[in-house]
Amino acid sequence: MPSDGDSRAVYAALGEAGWIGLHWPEWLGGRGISPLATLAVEERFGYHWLPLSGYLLSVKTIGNALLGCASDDLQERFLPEIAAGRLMFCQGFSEPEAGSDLAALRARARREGNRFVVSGHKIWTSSAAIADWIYLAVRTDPAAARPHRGISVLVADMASPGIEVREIPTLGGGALYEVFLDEVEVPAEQLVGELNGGWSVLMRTLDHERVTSEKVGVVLRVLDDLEAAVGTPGKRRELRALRGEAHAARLHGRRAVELLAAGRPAAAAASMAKLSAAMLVRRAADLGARLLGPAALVEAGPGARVASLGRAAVGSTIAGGAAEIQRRVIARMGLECPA
Amino acid sequence: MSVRVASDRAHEVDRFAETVAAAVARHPTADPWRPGAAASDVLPQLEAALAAAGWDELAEDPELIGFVAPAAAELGRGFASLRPIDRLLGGALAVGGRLARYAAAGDRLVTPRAGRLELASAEQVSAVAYADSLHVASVEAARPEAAVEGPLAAARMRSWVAGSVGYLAGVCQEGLRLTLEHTRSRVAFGRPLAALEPVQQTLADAAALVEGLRLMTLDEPGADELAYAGDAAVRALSSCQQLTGALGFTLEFPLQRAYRRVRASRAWTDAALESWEAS
Repeated sequence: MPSDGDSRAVYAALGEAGWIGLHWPEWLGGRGISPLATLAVEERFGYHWLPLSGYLLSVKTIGNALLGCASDDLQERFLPEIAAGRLMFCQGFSEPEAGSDLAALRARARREGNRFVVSGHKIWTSSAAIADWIYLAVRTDPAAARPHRGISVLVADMASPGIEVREIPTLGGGALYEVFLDEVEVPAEQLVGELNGGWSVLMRTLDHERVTSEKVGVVLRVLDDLEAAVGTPGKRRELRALRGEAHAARLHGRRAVELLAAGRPAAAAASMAKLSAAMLVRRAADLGARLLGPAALVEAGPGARVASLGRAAVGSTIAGGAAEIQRRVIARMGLECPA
Repeated sequence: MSVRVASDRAHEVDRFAETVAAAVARHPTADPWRPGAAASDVLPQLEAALAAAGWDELAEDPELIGFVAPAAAELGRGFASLRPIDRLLGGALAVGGRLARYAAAGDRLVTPRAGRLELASAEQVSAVAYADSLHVASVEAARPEAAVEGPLAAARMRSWVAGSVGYLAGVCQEGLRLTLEHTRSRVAFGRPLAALEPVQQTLADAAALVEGLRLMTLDEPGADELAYAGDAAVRALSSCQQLTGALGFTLEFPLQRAYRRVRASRAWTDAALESWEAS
């Protein structure tokens, strides 16, 4: 689906038109309005089928995390450039042997004087080919008593010597990337949050990533497309129930954003937002296939969005944290189930 | 609406819901249902308390729509009768062919159809053995009356829809609460059920559905939300039934009341919505 797609031109246009960072402070390039307004606007971006991957990473996920976790210097350096649509981030979290089990990550950063030297292998990195910077989860203390205690977050220039990117085409139509880091030098002031305190930064970052209102918009657009194909009361009822489900997903997103804005624990609410939107996408794709029959797979013309959603939906319950991980977070953080 | 006015209104909504919750607590609804028999959960004392609190004013005043779902959720949480919800429509809901719920001879029957509320006076009814204690009857004879139309019909239907969503949310919240209590206390394989990963996964799905319904009650839910709420409630409570095992399957454990109620409720709300929208 297009929200997984990428376009520097669209990103730049959003920045120039003042649509990026609506709830960020004005002195950091924002417009100082409610984060709920940003949420509603992101839903409309999805509805209008904009390619959003770089936006979602740079603004909704990393930008918001920098605003909460980074030093004033880093905020002043990056946020106005992001808000202007001039600077795009990608996010280096997953590795070949660390995904759902993120704390197992191995990319290593060792301190040498006033810089870190980073080597490692990141994978499933969206937008890496067009991003200017990467927001990296790295291991800074391999000897820490527990794996998640030795992790830090750095930001690095993608033009740094030692970074290589390889494209991996996907079923969704876009691409993911691998990022190879070989003795990449990163100035020490590009540390986000505390040294070895990266786990809490990562968790807050994921809270932002998991609010995916653009997917609610994507589904509402497909439901509008399907309206014409609905002839019987039974099918009309299914479509109507899915609209209700989209609204429930929207309300989960609002709830998570309200908690995040208030600085309160938001993990369970963010995972509910993520899970509800992901399941919504799967169900909408399924309904589209059943309503349109063979025509549901025609990748041009009036049904093209349904066909595109049908392929991309598979990724919705995987990207940004698998559905099983969301359920685990909900159970442990929200329902106080024992670990 | 200014922030100040909105926050005063939210406070009033909470207070009204608390009043309803107190009435539900003072007049608990027992489970009269047994398999294969006709049963009614109508509780006149509770209905009198609701009337005294101003329940009937919710039916026709569009300004009060925000009060309906949160208050209805308290009825659901107590597994109280659905009759107060149907009062918002103006009588006994008659949408299942000849079936009507909470209908006795002499009662007014209401059928939402094509944007109007068709009314009739029930003259002859016979009780039906039903899978939930909704006082379901087969209407053998009824005398038609003038229909309610226009904005009044729309306001009553809107209020009933919001009340139905709120009620389902409340039933589900209580069902989930019972399930969490059980899975946290029952030990299997040396640990509480709630520590087992497959149990956690299922609980999380149910909890996300129920939280979605709860958030809807605060947002003046409409027909799309009701169509979804019926499915979501059945899905959530099916999971709860699975997690409570044989205990949940017995009539001694109250979860089955929630499960029966959401299945029955969905059947009636779907029929009512379809009929309301028929052209």
